[in-house]
Parts: sequence; structure tokens; C-alpha cells
Amino acid sequence: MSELRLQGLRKTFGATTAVDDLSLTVADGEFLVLLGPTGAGKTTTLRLVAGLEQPDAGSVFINGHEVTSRTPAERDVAFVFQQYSLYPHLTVYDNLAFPLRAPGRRWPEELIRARVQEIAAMLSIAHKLDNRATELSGGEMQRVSIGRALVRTPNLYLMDEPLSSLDAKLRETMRVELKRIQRDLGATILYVTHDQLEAMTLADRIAILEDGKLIQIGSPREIYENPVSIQAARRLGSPPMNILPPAALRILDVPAGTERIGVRPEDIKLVEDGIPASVKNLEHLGPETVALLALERDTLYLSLPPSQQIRRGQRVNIKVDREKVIFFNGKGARIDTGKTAEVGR
Amino acid sequence: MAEVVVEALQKQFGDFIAVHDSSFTVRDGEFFVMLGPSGCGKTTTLRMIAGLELPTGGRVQLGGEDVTWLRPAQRDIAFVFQLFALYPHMNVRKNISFPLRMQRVRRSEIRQRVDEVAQMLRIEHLLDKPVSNLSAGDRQRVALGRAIIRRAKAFLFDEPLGALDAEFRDLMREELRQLHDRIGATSIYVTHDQIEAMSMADRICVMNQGKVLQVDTPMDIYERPKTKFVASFIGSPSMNFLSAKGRIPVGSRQIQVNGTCLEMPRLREALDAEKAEIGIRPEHIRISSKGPLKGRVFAVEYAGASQMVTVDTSAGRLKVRIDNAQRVRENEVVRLLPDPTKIVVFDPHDDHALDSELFEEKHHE
Repeated sequence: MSELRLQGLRKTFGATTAVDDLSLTVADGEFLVLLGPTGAGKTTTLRLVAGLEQPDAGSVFINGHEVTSRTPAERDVAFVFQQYSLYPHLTVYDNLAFPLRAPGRRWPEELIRARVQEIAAMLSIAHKLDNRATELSGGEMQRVSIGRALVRTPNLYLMDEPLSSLDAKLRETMRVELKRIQRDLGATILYVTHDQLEAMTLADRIAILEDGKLIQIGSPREIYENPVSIQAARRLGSPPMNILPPAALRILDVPAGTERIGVRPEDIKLVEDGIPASVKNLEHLGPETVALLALERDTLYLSLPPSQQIRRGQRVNIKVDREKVIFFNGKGARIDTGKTAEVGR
Repeated sequence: MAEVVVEALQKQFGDFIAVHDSSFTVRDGEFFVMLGPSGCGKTTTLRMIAGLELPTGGRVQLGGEDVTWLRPAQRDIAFVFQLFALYPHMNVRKNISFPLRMQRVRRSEIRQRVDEVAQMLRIEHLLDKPVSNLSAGDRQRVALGRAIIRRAKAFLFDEPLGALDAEFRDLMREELRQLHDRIGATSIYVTHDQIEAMSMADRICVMNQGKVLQVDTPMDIYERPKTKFVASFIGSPSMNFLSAKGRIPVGSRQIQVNGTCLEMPRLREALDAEKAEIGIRPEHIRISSKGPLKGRVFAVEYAGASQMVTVDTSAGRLKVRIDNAQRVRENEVVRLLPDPTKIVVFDPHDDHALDSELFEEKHHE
């Protein structure tokens, strides 16, 4: 059992508020991703949990015990950084065994061997155990860094963009592996990224941060389908949700107070007879084609299956189903139209 | 604007051949992207087109004129580098007008052309500002402005967006392509980023180890790769590859993968080798009870509009992309149905794709 609870956490650096009254709970065995742009307060939050920074206000609880004033070592958390930090003169085996030999732990060598081999097999680096850290590729080094966090069973794993230094192909493989390992170990992970795809594919729940504040927390599907605000809506999905005045898509009878409407690019259809638009740009991405369309006053993104042929400069007609439209008020907050309940899981 | 013809171009540095016998034609007004991993020879090729390197063989023609041995300044081309060097002591207007002032163009004409370019790039409001305080995007726009003001015959770009962060790159890529359309330029653009290539190019030239492997539209490169390297370099997640039984006669419509028979496009070329390999993209496999391949779901990744399912089959691990409405669970046993019209067969000896009906119907350019 290892649960993390943040309550009213606040951290300022001079005049900047990095984390602003943040409260959230990471359940035992949960993979929670903090998602936000640079400067949203993600890494500061992680460092407050680790004990590398002290909050100005608020508390951190691990397993129901307040640890706010405890040292990092006393909190028993494992941290994986963006840049792998291995001991270059040690072998992969010794790098992985290092945390278990630390003063205060000093596991017997047989137990260490069994554990290191188990983790190395899980990360597909068992055949590299005798290599020096410097003889590894970037991907292998990052796997060893993650492995070094996984060998012991701390209360909590904290990961700060651990995959961002890897190339695209390796990142994909590691994403699937990491998620699988987390499930198998039942590990509790608080993970920071600015990459929306990484957040959606890894997380049990995503917490969206912006300017140090929690904007929305929920499963990837909940946030993608039911964002609470324009900010949350535009954080997930690529290209992001289109935000337009209601008249642009000829959506009639909008709920009272509607200033903007939101439509996902995949929910816009090409039709024979509809709203006229012209194709300003086209991106053939492979599995889908993304078109930038110019309406009378606004522009929007549309994504299409590649089998649908469309050219730059072409005049087209589009249509949007009213059920696919999300309504926002003047402050950018979602207007509840009663359909929220039926979607979700 | 002009056509660029590269003919049997070669570059050797000592014993090392950086570019082997490369030939291709960039059409007038085309946005042509040269794509490949680092060290594949794409930048060397671009530099030979620019005249910054001299070839050890072959020719370069620009608008019908042989420019192989001309100095860069005599070629009438504009070059945009990855790191956009602006003159820090000059304001935006002076930076953009610099090439024209060097050519001693009349002052009234300079003013008119700077205004035109600034309007195109939407930086009119910045013209009298110093360049030192500009954002990365605006600096890149100024660098572009300085390149396009010359109305060169061709624009050459060497990873111009490489230094920008991801969000900005998406935006600039769109702006750059629209700018190309507006000025009707011939552009040659070098990148190692397959997304950039796919999203911007009229045609892509894929290079590896100094050789041109394929020149085609993004859709054809993606759906009809001519070699396994091209197939695996483009697409994220990558195409799935499975080993299959070889010795297949011309006209075959079926292939054996680990004892399972899969339908495929009719072959127009025989395979003599003992073994073959097939390639199929994640979105061309469906999860369906009618599927011939059986497997267990290893992972399900929700990705908004779609989801990526990783399935372990007896033939290997496959990625499948399905829409977000279908519910699939980890460890569930599923059946996979590859789209028979999309399978590519590779010869494991040289990794070339066997000719088949798949290659008959090319995408419109």
C-alpha cells in the first residue's frame, strides 16, 4: 500500500508562483501523469514530493503519514531523471545493485543477484549485465536508469520526462514496456511530461497543470472527451481541438452563455452540401491526412482517412454533428449540457 | 523559378563515398524534401546543389543551365540554415533588406519589397525592432524573409526547424509550406524528421548510406515503399514486419506466415529465396473474429482519436491501430485481420519490395 496525497501545496520562487494550492491524490498502484507546458509547475511538484524542495504552504502525505518535513531518504521514493545518471566506471550489474548495497539497506548478495536479474530480464538488458555503463547505447542507458529505480520497492516512483532523451522508435517501445512493468509490479508512479501522446498512452489518470494550478484530473478518455475548459481541451489531441465562434459552424440553439464552441478535427466530415471552406494546407501523415481549412472568417483543422482524396486549394463543404460539439462560456469554462454523464468510461 | 536536375552526382571524401551516383529531378514550383538518417548524404547533396561543395562526379542543372562548377553567388539560389544567423546590430528591416543592399537595388524598390515580404510573413509590426529581443519563431521568420527577398530560382533549406521546440515546429512547418505556395518557389528541404517530410513535401527523396532509395509522393512512400529501409524509416509506430515462407511464383495472391495463410496483392515478380518478409502498417490491421492470425493483447494505449494495441502472436509482436470506439483489454485473446490489399513483400536478400498489384495504383500527385 503506497498512496500519495498532496494538500494545498504551494511553492513560490521570488515573485513567481510555481505551484499554486495544489491538491491531488495518487492511489496505490496508480500511474498518474502530470501534463503541462514548460513552466506549468510539473517538475517543481515532483521535487516537492521527493523532498528536494520545501513548500511554502501545504503538506505531502505518503501512506497517510505526513512527510513534508522529512528528508528525501526518509521518504523512500525513487527518482528517474530525464538525463540518465549512471556510474560510468561500474558494470550494468553494479549500477543496478547500487541502491541495494547502500548503507541502511545492505541486502545480502544472493538476494541482490536475484533481484538484479529479475529487473534486467524485465527491461531486456540481461545480456548486458557485464558491460560497463559507457558501452551501452542511449536507450540501454536509460533502461538501466529506470532499472536502478525499479530494483528496490520504494513507496513511490517519481519520473521526470524519462523518455524524452530517446529517439522516437525507442520511446514507443519503452512506453509500452514501462506501462507493462508498472502494472506487473503494481507500482505507484507520479510521472511528468509535456508530451500529450505520452501522457495519454501511459496514464491511468492525467493531471493537467497550467501556471501552477490544477486544471483537470481524470482518465485520458474522460479529459479527451469531456474537457472542463478550453485550456484542458487544447492540451490533449494533435492537432488540438478547434475553438470557434458558434456561427462559424452554423450551430444553432446553443446553450445560454455560449461564446465559443469546440470540435475535434476527427469529428468534422466532408459532405456534398454544407458549410463552404477552402483547403489552405494539407499534411499527409500516413495513417491520416490533416487539412487546414479556411472558412469565411476562421480556420480549422480536419483529419481524414488517407483514402479520401483532397488537394491544396480545393473548395469543399463540411458538416459537424451537434452531439460532437462542446460549448464554452466567455471565461473558457465548459457549459454542462447534461451529456457529460453518459460518456466517460 | 526553375527546375533542378541532379544527374549521377557523386561526392567522395578520401576513401569515403558520401554520395553515390544520385539522380533526381525537382520540378518547377515543387516542394521537394530530402529525408534520411544523419550521415546519409542528404546535406552533402544539398551543398553540392548550392555550390558549397564541388562534386567528384555528375552534374547539377538549374533552370536548364549547367551550374555544376559555378560559385554559389553565381547560381541564383537562396540557402536557409538550421541556425539562423541574423546580424545582431541591425534591426529587422536592415536584416531582411541586406541581400538587396549588397546588390545595390534602388532604395524605393528595396522598401517596397521589404514591405511585401514582411506582410507575407506577418512581421510588419516588427520591422523597426532590433532582432535581439525577438522570439525564436520571429527570428526564424526574419531569416526566411532575408532568403525570399532575393527572388532566387530555388530555395534550399537545411533542417531550418531543427532548433525550435515541438509546438513551434508544427506551426512553422505549416507557415513555411504556405509561404512556398504563395511565392510559387522551387524548394529543396533537407530533414531527418519523417513527420516534417510527410507533412510538407510534394515529393520525398529518401536517402540512406549515400544512395537515393526512392523518390515519390508522401502517400506512395508511405503505402508503397520500394525497400524495407524506406518502409521502416517512415511511420510512427513503424510498419510491422513478419517473416514468411519464400519460393513464391509470379501471380501468387497468398503467403504463408508461420503456418497461417494470408491474402496479399498479386505478385508480379517471383521470389526464389527460401524466406520472405512481409510488411503491414498498424492501421491496416483490424481486430476481428474473422482474422486469420491469433494473438494475446500485451498493451492497449489510448491516444485520443485512436488507440494502439500491441499484440503478441506466434509470428511475433504486432502493433495495431484501431479507432477509439472499439474496446480491447490487456491479456485478451484476439484475432487479427490484415488488409489484403496493403501487404508488402520484401526479399530478405537485398530488402527490396517485390513488385505487386500494390504498386499498380499510384497516388495522384
